[in-house]
Amino acid sequence: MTERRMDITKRLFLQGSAAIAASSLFGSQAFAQANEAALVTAAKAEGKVTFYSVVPQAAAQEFIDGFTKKYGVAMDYQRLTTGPLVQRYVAETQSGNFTADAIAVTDNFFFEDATAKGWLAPIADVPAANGYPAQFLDKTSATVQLLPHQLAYNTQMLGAAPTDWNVLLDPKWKGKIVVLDPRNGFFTTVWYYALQQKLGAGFIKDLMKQEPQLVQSAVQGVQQVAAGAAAICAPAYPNLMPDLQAKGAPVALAATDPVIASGVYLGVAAKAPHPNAARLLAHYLMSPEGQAAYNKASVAPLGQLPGTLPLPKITPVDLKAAQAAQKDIFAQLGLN
Amino acid sequence: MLPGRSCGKALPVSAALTTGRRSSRLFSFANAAILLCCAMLALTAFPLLASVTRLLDGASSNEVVSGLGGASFRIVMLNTALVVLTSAAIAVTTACVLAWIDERTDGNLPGFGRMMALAPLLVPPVAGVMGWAVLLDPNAGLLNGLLRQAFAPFGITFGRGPLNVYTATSMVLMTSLYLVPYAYLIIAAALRQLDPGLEEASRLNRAGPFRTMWKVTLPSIAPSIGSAAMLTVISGLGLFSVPFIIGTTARLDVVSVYVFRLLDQYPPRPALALAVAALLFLLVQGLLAIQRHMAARRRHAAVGGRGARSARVRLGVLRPFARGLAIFYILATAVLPLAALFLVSLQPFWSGNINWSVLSFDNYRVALFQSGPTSRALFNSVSLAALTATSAMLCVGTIMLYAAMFNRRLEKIADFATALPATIPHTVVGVCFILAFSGGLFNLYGSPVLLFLAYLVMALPFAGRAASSAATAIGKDLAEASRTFGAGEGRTFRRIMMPLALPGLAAGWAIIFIHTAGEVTASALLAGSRTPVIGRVLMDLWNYGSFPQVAALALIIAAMNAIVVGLVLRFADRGMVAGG
Repeated sequence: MTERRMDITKRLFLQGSAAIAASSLFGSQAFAQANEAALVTAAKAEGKVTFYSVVPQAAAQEFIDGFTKKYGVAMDYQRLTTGPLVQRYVAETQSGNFTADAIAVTDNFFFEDATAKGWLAPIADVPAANGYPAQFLDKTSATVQLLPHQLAYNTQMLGAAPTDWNVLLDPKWKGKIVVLDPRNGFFTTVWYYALQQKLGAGFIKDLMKQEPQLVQSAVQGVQQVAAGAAAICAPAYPNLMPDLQAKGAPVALAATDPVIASGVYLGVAAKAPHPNAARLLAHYLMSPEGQAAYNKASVAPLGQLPGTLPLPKITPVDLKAAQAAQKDIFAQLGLN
Repeated sequence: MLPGRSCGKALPVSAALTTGRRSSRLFSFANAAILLCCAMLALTAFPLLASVTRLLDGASSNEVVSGLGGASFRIVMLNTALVVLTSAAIAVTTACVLAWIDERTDGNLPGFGRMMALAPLLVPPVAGVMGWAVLLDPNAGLLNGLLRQAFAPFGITFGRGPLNVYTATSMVLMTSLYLVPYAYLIIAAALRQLDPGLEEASRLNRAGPFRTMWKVTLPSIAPSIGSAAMLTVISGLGLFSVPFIIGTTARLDVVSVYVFRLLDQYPPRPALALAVAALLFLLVQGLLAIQRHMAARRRHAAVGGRGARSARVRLGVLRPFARGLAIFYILATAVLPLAALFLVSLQPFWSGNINWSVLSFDNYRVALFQSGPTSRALFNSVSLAALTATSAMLCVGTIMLYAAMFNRRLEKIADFATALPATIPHTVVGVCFILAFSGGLFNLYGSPVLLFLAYLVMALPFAGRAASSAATAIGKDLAEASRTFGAGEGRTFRRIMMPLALPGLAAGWAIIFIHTAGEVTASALLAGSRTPVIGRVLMDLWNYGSFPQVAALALIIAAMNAIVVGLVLRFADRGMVAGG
């Protein structure tokens, strides 16, 4: 991990929602507008844009429709989980088959590497970068969605919302706890590390005495909580709740301290087949309208917008220390 | 003995067969077959080599050395050996018993016995595992709930369980459940073609039905059992969903999941993944050599000249027991999990407490009409799967049949060529195909042709094992007889061997069809937005949707698989009757 991104990510966690509210959305607006008009004309001439994104199509539909309607540029929205999406992007780029115009995934290591290899265009070329909160901007990427790591619980089994992560160590829930496999993504390791810092070095050892079930993804974990197969799933994310809750599932999210958050990062391909449409897409995604559409039931870095959730108070975590502790965390969980 | 018509010289037919001397016409056929083998090899090897040259540098070779020498890889390989070998043994034994009951005894279940043995294969694995979790989750499992209720009156109470789907034992059992169909298809096809004369002789000598099975029937089909064992080991190595979902909680990592993790995280480690694939390939080649050696040493019966429609073994008082066993198997492995999946597919969200008032078919509507281009994806997957299965079985079947009859060396080449892709993880196939076939000479990127070629490569191991089993089950007497009566090789091939091999080839076709239609990992990388395939829609629902939606789509896919496979197997049976 490079120093630079480390600092930026760290800053991200140090600065709360107040900073976002304070950041100016109106700086040099005239310049941006002139820029946007030129960009729209060029993008329209290109006709289409290909976007690789981890956000589910159903959730992103409003964003796709909004972009197409506003600019008259068709969007080919390719959605996969981060692993295969990055594999595809890397193989395409290495073989000179430039397909994606822009990519939005959760893997910070990918962005560092892609930046070093010159695969990504400067994000400053995107008009909306001018006025986007600085702590969510890097040289070649912008954080376009935030995922706070919280705790999902079965409302029938627990009754009241837990206020503390210590609920994971309550003997009452032995055999009824689902936790995520930290091999599914770096930020799950960060979450274990943060809890270890907060609850003491013996946290994982105590957790193991609860005979937790390990799952690969929170999508599966929260459904197990809804089914009554588990009482608690941790970590879990706000965007997983609305669908289940709308169907009457007895599941809710508890905000327990500390809260750490991972992000979805956006980059524009340096050799995008539709370079102007690519920048226009990034521009729309970073604008208030695009942010609201892309982050339904999620947290928008731009601040709370219609349909998005408020940004919880996020605790800073030393990512480098978390990475150093990764091997030990795996071992304590019985993983090799 | 009369000379064969196509042999110009007065060479005895049997001599021509055993010495491998061929007429010029045959020679050209052999050449064509060898050329086809080379094409198959090239199709597999070229993308791999093209990728290796890109990947090979100092850093990656260090990574390979430290990866393969590491303790975690040793543990993974040990786990894999344990899980795969145990599961394969259980699966082959189960398949032998079930196939014997259904094909050779009067304990069969006419009409649906065979189809139901395939049931676990028809449901996409992700959903199949889910069905078992719904039944056997220690807290919310439906079957566990029933068991707890059943034991309660006797004063036996459980806080959770008593059964638990997330254990190592359950992982082995579930793996074997997914391997049974592979073994079953091959063994059943061999049993169907078996000359009943020996069994009758055994019966006339007052041997009981089980003694006959043990001493006569099973030894007669030993090469097919060997093929089945190989295929289960190969499929077991590649099985992903069961170890991914169950093994995560059971803390039991096997090689397919290990390779997945190598590629899923950033930076991906394709060089190490390829090295693991190469290592497994050597292992499989070793096993294949042992199998060939044993098949050659052993004298086994083959299809004789007599009619294949045999009298079934009478089980007498044991008949209800055999039938009961088959019915129990079907209930436990097919009906129960399918019923659980169906129930979940009607729920708004998966729940252990069934609320009958909220059940609806809404998830089917979502799966079919709101999850992207589902109907187009279904059409693409069925077409591509049928095309892949047909091409693979036609090519490999012809080569293997021909080689088994006339050319032992060609058989070895074909064995090698078809086994090559067996151990290459599908993700690796996907990445290599992008690297090799994009830009430059072969600009196939994003086209359905690329998807088809990748599917074809992944189908070769199944085609190879099924065809090789079908070929060895046919003895040489019929071909000899045909040629004695003056039929040329072409005619002998068309009229005698092809029809006799048809059930075995159809079994291979069915396996390939199901596999290709539900393929997920390579498709995620290769399927462009213009060629959506159903495996990806299913994975989308798994990653982003809900269990009930996955269940709904999985049942739609299972129904589609059942119809296609049922039709093909039935057609093959008729074909054999007509041709033979």
